[in-house]
Amino acid sequence: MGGRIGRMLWLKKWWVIAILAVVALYGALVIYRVFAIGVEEKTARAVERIHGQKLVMDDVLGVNMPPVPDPALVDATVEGVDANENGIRDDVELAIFEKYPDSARTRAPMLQYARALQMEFTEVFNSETLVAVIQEEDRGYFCAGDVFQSTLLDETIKNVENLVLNTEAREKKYKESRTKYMTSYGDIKGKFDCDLDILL
Amino acid sequence: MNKVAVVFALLTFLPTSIYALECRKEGHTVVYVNGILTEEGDAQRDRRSLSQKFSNISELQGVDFINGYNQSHLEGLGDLVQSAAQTFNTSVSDYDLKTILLQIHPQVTTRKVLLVGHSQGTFYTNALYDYLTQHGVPNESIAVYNLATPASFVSGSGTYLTSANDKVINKIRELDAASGAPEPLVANILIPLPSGEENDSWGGHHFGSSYLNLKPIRIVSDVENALKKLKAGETADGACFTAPNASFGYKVMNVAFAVADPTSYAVRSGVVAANNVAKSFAGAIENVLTFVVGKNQAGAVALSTTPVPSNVVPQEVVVQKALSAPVPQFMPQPSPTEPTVIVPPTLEPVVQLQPQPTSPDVQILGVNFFPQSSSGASPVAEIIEDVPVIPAPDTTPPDAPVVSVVECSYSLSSDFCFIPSTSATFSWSTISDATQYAHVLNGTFGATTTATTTTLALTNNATNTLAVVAYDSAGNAATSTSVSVFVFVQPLIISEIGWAGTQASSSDQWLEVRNLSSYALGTSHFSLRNASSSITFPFSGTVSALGFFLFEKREEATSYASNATFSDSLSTSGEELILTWNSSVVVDRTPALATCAGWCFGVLSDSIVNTSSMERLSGASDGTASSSWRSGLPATAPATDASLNTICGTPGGGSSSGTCDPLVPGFEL
Repeated sequence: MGGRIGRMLWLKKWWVIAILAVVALYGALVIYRVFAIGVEEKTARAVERIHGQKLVMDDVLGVNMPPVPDPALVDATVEGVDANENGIRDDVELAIFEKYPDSARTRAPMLQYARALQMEFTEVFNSETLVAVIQEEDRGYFCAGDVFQSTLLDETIKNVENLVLNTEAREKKYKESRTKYMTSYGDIKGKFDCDLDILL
Repeated sequence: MNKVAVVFALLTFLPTSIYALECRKEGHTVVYVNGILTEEGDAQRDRRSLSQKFSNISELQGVDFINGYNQSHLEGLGDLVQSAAQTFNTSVSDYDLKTILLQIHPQVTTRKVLLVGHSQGTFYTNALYDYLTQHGVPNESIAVYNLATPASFVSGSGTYLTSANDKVINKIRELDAASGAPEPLVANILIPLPSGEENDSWGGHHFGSSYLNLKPIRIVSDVENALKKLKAGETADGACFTAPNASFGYKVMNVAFAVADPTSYAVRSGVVAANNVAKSFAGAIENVLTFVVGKNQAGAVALSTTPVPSNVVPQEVVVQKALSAPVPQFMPQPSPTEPTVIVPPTLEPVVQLQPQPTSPDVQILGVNFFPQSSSGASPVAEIIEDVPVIPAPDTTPPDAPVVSVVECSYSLSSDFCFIPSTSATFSWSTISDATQYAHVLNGTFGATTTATTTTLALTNNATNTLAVVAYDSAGNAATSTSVSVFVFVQPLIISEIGWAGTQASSSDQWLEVRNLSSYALGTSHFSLRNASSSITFPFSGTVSALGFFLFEKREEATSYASNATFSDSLSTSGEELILTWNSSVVVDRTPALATCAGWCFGVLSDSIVNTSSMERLSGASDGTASSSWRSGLPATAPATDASLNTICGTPGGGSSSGTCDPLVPGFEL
């Protein structure tokens, strides 16, 4: 009799352990997925934000020109200073206007590319966001290809990259993102290369 | 409640990648696979640059460009080991191949796919082709186009482009030849080394600066042609291809690389100067392999560390599209078509290396990467011992020949070689240890020869560039400094003949030749005479660019200063005049006597009409046709004869205008 009761207790205990184990595993997976879904949602929001940014005519015409940033702050952080909050670092924006004071048509793709490149510092935290930023950079590049002769295109783009990646910390951040997150990708579909039809 | 739980559980556990992807019949996809040790950002730049140039040059629409990213691992160390294995047509692991396939799977949405590889990426395009054709992609829907390929083949009989100036591939070829590994495909184009890469051990190898920027039309054309040949075959299940399973082993490597790669980067950034680590790793690997397998077999690994001997493919060897002398503005420009350069296969050594017997030393000859042993264990390397010593192969190139052009001795310019002939004889110095030579004319290789001279047909209105490659018996090559020859077959023409003299005197004959080039021409190698050579016109000095040279019987014959006088007299019943260069090359000639039964145009004054010359029509290149000539008219600022009569002609140049008034009203010329 006692043996029977003991065996039943054992069985009861075994089932409890099994059920508890399954529940615990399920719970762990759900928690994992909660975090994963959280990252996915965060990624989706970031990608939408990256692709949602758009150069406006005022940026190109200099209506919202930023003041000259404080030299002490301009390179103090990787993100730099963006007082007019148009996504283009102020020192880069001013340099582009200084180099091309008379041609909005020329400034437009350069500003577009500079803003996309700036997002390397502010938006990239995984492969999806890196690809989104790269797709925006490539749009800027292709847009510049409509303005600059092919022989000058790469040099012009390189000049913008030199402006944006002007410190060791920024260069490092740029390379780190690629080392960590670079993956295969293609062009973004259904979007014109140029934010503004000033190029037409 | 239970149903909700089931749905939640399904959504929680099921993978999200099971949804079928559309695979369109229309459109094309180009998958670009980069090589190893690609700088951060270069893969991105290469892909978009290819896409940009393609859209600029090609009319083909609907082409998606995808970056099939070939990631570097362990700061290049993993790639170097993998490359060494791939050189022997094997592979250390298929991790990167799987990664590329998994990553491009959702992005390939067309049935027609072209795989474009560069450098080590070409090993992957070959492998991708094999995988894809075995997993749902019909053979007619996919092709491979490889650039700067170290591989010995292109999957699917695809095309490739490798420059003879590619230092990396040349080095690999040299090392592979020495080690017995399959050699890279022969170079099939000669692309000049871009500025700044002359002393770069990777010079001539970069996708952008060395290939695409210098040969955009060729590369885009190759891509376009490959795409046009593709057909949208039926796929097995509607998807473009079946992606591989991410096995447990793959996921483990994924995690391992996810940890190790950033760590390696951090080590590089924090401890060692940026560019030295990859080289250090490569150097270490080279040293290890040199120790293990002998120096010559460390080829693929050593490629990043060993500079290429500059005399193997010297920087001077260029496809000379740019003219060494400026192009005359009115001359036709050289054809924009990029010359297709075919490089003959690397010459096999004449003397085959034979194992040498009775060496007391044991030399370790080879290594197999990760072979499967019979016990199932996987040793890192299996060393083959106790084999005879093979002498070190001859990798010393012969001396470079010195090339000269016979015709350049008669150059029309003292500043550069300018000849009015499309045929030229090239000769070069004899190289003592060279067994064969091959010339490279405008980038195109000729057949090999043992001779040290050759006569070649040159391109008119262009600078032609020639170099000569000397090969020794081991197949080593050395290329000469290139020589340039500018060819313009009709730089000088007979432009006007005052055979009838002037109104003042029929003896005051004059003759004018015109320089059609934008260069001052020396006249010492020109000869102007009549068909029977009884009349000669003695040239002297130079003819200014686009200028005229005026012969006069006497200085007073016309109001223009003559460049030279002549003593012989032209027959008023007609002459055929011939302008030659270098004694035998006819540069220009007037109509034969039979053409017009005498002078075709011009008037000998007979007291009714004015004397006039025979004047060449502007742009008429064929001087033997009567349609190329007319009777002369006075210049806007008319020349006058010894009696101050207006000359019906334009001796010394000038635009003709108006008419020659007849001496008797009612008579017209």
